[in-house]
Amino acid sequence: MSGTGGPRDRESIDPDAPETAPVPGEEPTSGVGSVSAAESTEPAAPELVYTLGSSRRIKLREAESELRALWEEASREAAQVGQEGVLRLREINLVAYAAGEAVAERVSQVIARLAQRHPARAIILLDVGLDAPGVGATDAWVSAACYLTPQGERHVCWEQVTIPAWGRAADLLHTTALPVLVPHLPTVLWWPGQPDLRGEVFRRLGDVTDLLVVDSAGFTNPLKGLGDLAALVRVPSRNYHINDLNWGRLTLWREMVAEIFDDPARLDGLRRVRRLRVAYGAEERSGDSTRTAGPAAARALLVAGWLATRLGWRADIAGWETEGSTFKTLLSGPDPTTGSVELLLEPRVLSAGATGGLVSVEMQFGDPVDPVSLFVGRLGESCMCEARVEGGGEEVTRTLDASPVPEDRLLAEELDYLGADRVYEESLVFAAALAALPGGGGLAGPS
Amino acid sequence: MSSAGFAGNPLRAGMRLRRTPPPATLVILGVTGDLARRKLLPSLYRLYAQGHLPAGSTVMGVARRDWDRDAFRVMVREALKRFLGAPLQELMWEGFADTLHFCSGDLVDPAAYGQLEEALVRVDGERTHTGNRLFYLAMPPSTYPGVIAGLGRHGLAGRRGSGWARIVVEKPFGRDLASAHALNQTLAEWFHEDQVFRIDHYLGKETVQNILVFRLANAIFEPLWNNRYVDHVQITVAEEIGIEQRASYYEEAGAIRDMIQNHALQLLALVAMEPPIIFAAGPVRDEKVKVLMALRPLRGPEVDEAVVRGQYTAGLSHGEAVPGYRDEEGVSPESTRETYVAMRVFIDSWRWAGVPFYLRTGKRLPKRATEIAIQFKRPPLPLFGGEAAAETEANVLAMHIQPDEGITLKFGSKVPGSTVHVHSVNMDFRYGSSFGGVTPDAYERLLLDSLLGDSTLFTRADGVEAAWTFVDAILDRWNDPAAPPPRPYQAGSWGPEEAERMMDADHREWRRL
Repeated sequence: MSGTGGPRDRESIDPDAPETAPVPGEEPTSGVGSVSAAESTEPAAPELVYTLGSSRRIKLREAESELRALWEEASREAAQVGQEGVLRLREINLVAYAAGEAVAERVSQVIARLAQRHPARAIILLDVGLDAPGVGATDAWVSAACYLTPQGERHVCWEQVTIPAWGRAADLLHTTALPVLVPHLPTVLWWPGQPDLRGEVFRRLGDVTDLLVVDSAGFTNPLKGLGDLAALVRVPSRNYHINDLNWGRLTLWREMVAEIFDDPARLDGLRRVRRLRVAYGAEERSGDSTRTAGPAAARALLVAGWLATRLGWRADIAGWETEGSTFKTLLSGPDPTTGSVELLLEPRVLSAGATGGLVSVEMQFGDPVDPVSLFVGRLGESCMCEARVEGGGEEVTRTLDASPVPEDRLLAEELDYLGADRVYEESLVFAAALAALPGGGGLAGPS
Repeated sequence: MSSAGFAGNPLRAGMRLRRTPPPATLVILGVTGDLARRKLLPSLYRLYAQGHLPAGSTVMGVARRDWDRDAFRVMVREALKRFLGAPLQELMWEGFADTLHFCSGDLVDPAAYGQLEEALVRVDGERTHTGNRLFYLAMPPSTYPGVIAGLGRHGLAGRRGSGWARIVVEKPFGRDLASAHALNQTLAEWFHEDQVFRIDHYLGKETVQNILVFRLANAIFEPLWNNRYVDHVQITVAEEIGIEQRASYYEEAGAIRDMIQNHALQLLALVAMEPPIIFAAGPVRDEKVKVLMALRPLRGPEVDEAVVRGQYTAGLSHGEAVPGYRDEEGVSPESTRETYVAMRVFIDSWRWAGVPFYLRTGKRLPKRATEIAIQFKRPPLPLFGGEAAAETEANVLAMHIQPDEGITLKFGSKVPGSTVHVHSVNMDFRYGSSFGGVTPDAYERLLLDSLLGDSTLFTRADGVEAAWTFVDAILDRWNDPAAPPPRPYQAGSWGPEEAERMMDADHREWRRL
């Protein structure tokens, strides 16, 4: 360990191994996450990072003073090379709950990339598990890093505190975060997996949170998870907003569907939608034909929830029927004259290498004699997405890049707003109601 | 948020990331020119790739070449490969290529407008369906009056059903007040002012847009933004390049027409304007025009005192020998055209009375740099005696516009130790890194705004004429044989010595950039 940082490639941020492991028998999570060029979300500068000092293991009670020491060290180094010190930027407290080392490592990488747009004091609460021997949450790892300008000056700098807890202390992780929150900054709680909404850690962290960000694509049980989240949305005493990275993944799809109806001539068709079919597939790229389509199921339900709540549909008619692998239900239209809407959800198993997630959204609307079909879907199994309207005497097509959006960019977009997204909340409640209809247990695909 | 105009579409509710204009046909008049190939087509491709151009959007290229649609697509593809700055994605290109149409015609010939009208009607029936048309004049300025009148006479300037017609006019907007006024008259004959988008691409840059946000969204700055606290303002638009292949244009224009009349005065207006009653095109442009109208006119010999013009001689640029202006290809050996201008101007308003605004621009300066620097007054009392008093510098708020966009605040801080030493430190905010990733190109932003009908970042007829009124008086003096000629400065230097002396006389100095 040199004790001093230096300009390095993104792939080599903080390569120094900690002196001792944070948990018995395991390698510790590093301080600042590595950012590989291949994963990078943005092509623009800055290209380099500069790790301030070394990632160090400390006593949790010393976190503030140790971070201060890192910054002072960095300022001295900057002065030695004729720079004017470093700018310590903290826009938010970002508290991330990581269930296990692998998640913590991934979270750490996302935070490093996120810092370009939302520099934060990041606090990673690493839940090693109740089963780990002993009890402990007294130690932490602190680190800080800067992005470098093209001229080599240290610019946006961020800091990270990783707090591992094991044994019974894992149940009290929330108490470890409180002393290291920066006062008077908004606090965002990012929960990458499926939160236990009744758990003590979640509930207590909620007390100090302004925005909860989950990712329903990472839920182990997406149907139950959507239901739990919808129940949380309805809690009137909740003092934080809720957002879902999976909702962010739908932005482009929503845009492509919405813009078709920007044409006033088609707008009336929205009152006369007869059928909505949403096809979705497995997320993972592998040759395993038994993969679950669960992560994409949440997205498909949210799309249906979005259209239903925007167009005034109601899920008060029936449960799900199945036709082959397709789930079908009827929704009430916006008024008695428009009839019902047939909703079809179709989980698919995709071939290896295919881009997962939503496969297509199809709507049939307008005149029953000469209906108009809207198809928004992937071109083959590529990342490109096509919108196509046929019927009613017209044909319109357009293509957009629907490549998977990296996690840091999804998170950054939520942090851009930091507020309530009522359209999401309403869509979620409807999606959860759809998931709870009788016969929908297989929507998440074969497990 | 999505654009206004889709209020009836319930699916637009809560859509927070995109600004999407309605489908329109963007007609690029002069599509084979440099501007179209380098800027407009790459910007349109990026807008398309980012989903800002909705289904039905069409790009109609117009030029004299006897091309068909396929030949036009080949030209566009070549332009994108060269100027996009990123690889073309084949599937994306195929989608974009589908929007591309071409109309061959010489716009000097009245028959060309009839052909254009036919092509627009056809493409509107096939694709666009809205009747919306945006004409972009990417042609030599000398052709503007004829083309504008041609569009007007053939009914292309009017509404078609619910569809709109707009026109984007590139700079230079006239070469003096008379020609600018005449051009405005020609435009007014056929287009309403709200159909006209006079483009100044500086106004599309993020930092320029941020000037107003920075001033008016932060309560701590606006109280200081006046003659009580501001000592002076410096606006620099420096270029390291020479005149490149544009000798004929530059011999006509010079630095004052090329940079001061438009970019520099627009920046000055944004810095000095009063807060608008709301942030909308009309009120923002009203306030900008008031600033330009309040510029203290320079008359006759006053120009000699307040304005320095220069012309570069041979020198080094980044260590490479470069010729002097008069030795450039296409430039007269006796040319007196200025390649550098520095000036001291005053705004006769309650807020800015007595505060000098220093503007400078030039070619073959040491580096490319555009910035606005607000230099605040020094503390009223040298509280920290001895060396510290001498070390205390004025606070400076610098807004960098290019090459890197960002904002720097310089303030004094005690150097740690037992003695009192004050050193200035910069608090530095850069767009590229502070908000992550790529800031949109200025042309992308302005093209999108013009398609959306948002003219906030475009100049209005009265604004253009107010700027020319101020500049015309300087040009009049320079036409007087009694006026001092352009002062020589070596290529690679920061301009003629007279510009330094002007600042020395005011007990100030140019910022070292």
